[in-house]
Amino acid sequence: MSEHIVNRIREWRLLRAPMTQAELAHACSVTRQTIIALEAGKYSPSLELAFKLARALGRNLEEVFQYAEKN
Amino acid sequence: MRSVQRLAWVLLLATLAGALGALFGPSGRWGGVDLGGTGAAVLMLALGGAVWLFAVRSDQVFPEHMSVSERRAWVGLAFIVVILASFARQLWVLSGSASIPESIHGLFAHQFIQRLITLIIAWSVISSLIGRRAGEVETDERDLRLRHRADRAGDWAFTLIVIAGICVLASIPAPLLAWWLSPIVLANLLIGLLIAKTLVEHVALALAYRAGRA
Repeated sequence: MSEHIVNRIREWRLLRAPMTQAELAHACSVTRQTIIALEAGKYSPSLELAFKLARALGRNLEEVFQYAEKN
Repeated sequence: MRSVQRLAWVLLLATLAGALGALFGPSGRWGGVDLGGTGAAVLMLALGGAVWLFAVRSDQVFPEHMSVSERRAWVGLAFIVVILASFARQLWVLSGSASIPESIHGLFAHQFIQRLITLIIAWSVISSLIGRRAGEVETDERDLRLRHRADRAGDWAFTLIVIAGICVLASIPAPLLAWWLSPIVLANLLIGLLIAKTLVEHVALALAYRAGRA
């Protein structure tokens, strides 16, 4: 069994319509490619970026990121 | 594919063809054409064209899904490959010469350093032009993390090559080593070591970007 971080960035971003990947990237001072990688689950952000993302999405950290176990 | 991207491909192919002609055909003629001189001219024209293209259309040369850092990584890889070819040519010339040059002037005589400086200047100019897009983040924490991983791959390659070099040197008889290992050969081996380390770093970085793409 292993643990990994899952996120709901795409879900919250689309709920907070209309927020594009480019707008979220600009709000968090990262590239759009980093947002794409985050949403695809191919990159785990630093704690600082995780807080920035949660703030930009208007959510608590744990609403955006969860620490999950997978088999 | 956009017309700008088609032009970029033409310039890339012209750069490679020019580099091959300039590096491997300096004394050869093909159909009455001086391969070395023509290749050098094509190489300089293609590099000039690439600088111009990046100066006026840097946004449109690469696919939209590539970040500025990824674009720089691929450009760096292309330049490192040309530098490696130039270095291989330098070694080829040295191995074929009647006497191995004993001073740094010998390196200048083979024009390797001049070529290296020209390529590094063109590389720096093109890299800076790639990042000219106003208001866009050029490098973020993901880029730095990928670069760190690529640097570690380069460090591993460096360590392995040094260990392999130690094993080779230890297995060569001392009289043969004294005849073969002149200061200028040692200098070339060290240059080759640095180029190999940089090549591994750039390959690892370009592949990491490619793998991380959604």
